[in-house]
Amino acid sequence: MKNAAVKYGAIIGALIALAGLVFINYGVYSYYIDFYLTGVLVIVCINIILAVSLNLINGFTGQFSLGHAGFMAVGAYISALLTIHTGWAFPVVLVLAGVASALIGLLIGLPTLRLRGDYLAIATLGFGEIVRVVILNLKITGGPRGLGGIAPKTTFFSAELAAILTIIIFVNLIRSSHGRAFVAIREDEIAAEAMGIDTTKYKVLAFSLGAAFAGIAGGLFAHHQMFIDPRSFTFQRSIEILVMVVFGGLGSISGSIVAAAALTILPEALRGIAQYRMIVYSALLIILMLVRPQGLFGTKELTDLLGFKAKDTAHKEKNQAVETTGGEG
Amino acid sequence: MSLLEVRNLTMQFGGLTAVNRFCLDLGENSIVGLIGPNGAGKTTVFNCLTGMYTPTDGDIYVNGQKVNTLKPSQITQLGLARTFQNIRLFRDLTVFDNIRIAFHYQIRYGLLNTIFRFGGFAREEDNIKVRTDELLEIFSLYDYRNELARNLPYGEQRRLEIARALAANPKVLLLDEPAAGMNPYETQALTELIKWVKEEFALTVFLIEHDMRLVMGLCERILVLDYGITIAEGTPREVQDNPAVIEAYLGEEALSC
Ligand SMILES: Nc1ncnc2c1ncn2[C@@H]1O[C@H](COP(=O)(O)OP(=O)(O)OP(=O)(O)O)[C@@H](O)[C@H]1O
Ligand SMILES: [Mg+2]
Repeated sequence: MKNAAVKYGAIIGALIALAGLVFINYGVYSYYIDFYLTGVLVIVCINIILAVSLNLINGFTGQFSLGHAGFMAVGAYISALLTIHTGWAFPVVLVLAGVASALIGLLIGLPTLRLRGDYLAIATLGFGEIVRVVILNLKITGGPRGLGGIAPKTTFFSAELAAILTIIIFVNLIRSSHGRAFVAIREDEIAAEAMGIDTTKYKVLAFSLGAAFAGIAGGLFAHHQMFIDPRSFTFQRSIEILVMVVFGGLGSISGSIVAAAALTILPEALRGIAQYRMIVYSALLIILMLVRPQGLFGTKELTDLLGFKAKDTAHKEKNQAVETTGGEG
Repeated sequence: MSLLEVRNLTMQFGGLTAVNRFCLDLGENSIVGLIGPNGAGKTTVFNCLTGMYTPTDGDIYVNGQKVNTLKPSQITQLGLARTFQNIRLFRDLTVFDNIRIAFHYQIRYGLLNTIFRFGGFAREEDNIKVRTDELLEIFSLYDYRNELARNLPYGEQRRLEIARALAANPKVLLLDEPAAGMNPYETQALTELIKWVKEEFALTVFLIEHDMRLVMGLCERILVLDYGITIAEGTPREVQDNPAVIEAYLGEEALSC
């Protein structure tokens, strides 16, 4: 009954996603969606990658990172410099950007592992600022003037493909014993360790994987904007990504996707009332946090929610069964 | 060779010696109890054995391998699994997932198999599901399968913790006050369950318990701790009649009056 409900939810979820994709792609490739809006959609894809990857660290593993913009910056600069100086193929450049960010994630993951909660947040915040200051002071990055003339290699297609691959990778990862290891750490680190889970390894893994995909997102961003400077990767950017993750639900990939899309499109949609834009945006966030503090989806996935009705009846039948057999033990 | 051997285990917290020169030798398929008044150092012994604390002094061997400085996860992987005095379930996960997680270190698929779903990934996941359901049946928890652990009645939470520890495939099972908070009826059922599980899984059980009926009815051998010192050791009968033990417990009663 429960399994049937989940499958049912998964099929509906897949159909909705597919329909959305077909619709958007039709719009983009038939030029119904104009150049400007297509640009917004590229940013949606990039933000989806950022939010889903940060969710692994903050949502699933229960760590508190405020350094995602730092990882994004590493990926953006590495990929931009590779494109400018080597002319290697874009996918190769993106993968290398991801690897470089992952290594940095490993570097900061290791010493900050003993930190928890607020302390970890401050350490990662410090990391993000260090990255920014280093970029500001290096010659090769162009310092405060930024880095221009990056070939516009990010197309809607490449951004979309990267986002889809990211989602598939993270969904598969989460729905496995490795994914359960991350969640166990969030739920109770001591119990997780006692059950044989190497919590250090999985925390470092969460940081590195999260960083890798932030780096790839940074690479897509650089080749979309064609110009990057340290102001694109401030603390504010980390907060924006964090807001998406919290808004969608810590521990929900579908939540991150919906939130990344909504919170990217919303400010654009509100451009008409330019001076009230940020007020409306902030008010919406406050209202959501008051009404649903666990975020739009909580820790649930869209597929769970779509299978909700069927699951609920299964639950009731089960309870009745328990009642008739009587509470033994 | 003994499964678990402890030599002169000592644990100090600042000036307090919580455990003093504790020794233990556990053979295969045995069941041994650890008793003593509140604050005697029983849980501290468990914490040292499972790697949560690094002992101040002494040696711990699991299957002949010294484990003093290993991490808890490594010790669990060597075959020691435990429950906690103040239940530590994954409260916001389902009963099913609580148990499923403990199979983690036994999986063989790596990250790439996971991401690309090849190399027997599905087979192994199915296997974990089947084995999890088996444990749920054994511990009469199947009806709660999809319930969050936090919503379980107290006695069921205790049982779930034991089931979860078993999923970690231990040779030695450490139970810290498994019957705490249970009524006499539940305690009786638990005693039978532990007996049965011990035989079925060919386990060695080392348990801390205040409920004397459970300890006396279950254990082949009992160790008594008082202020970190092992004041007695022997069969349930021997320990019961030991004047030092009676005094330790009476002293405690006198203090708590
Ligand atoms: N991490 C710690 N830091 C400092 N003191 C500790 C620590 N853990 C235990 N102790 C002290 O060590 C002593 C033994 O504690 P322990 O929890 O092992 O007792 P216990 O025998 O399990 O008691 P109970 O029956 O109440 O569970 C107590 O005095 C306790 O305060
Ligand atoms: Mg104790």
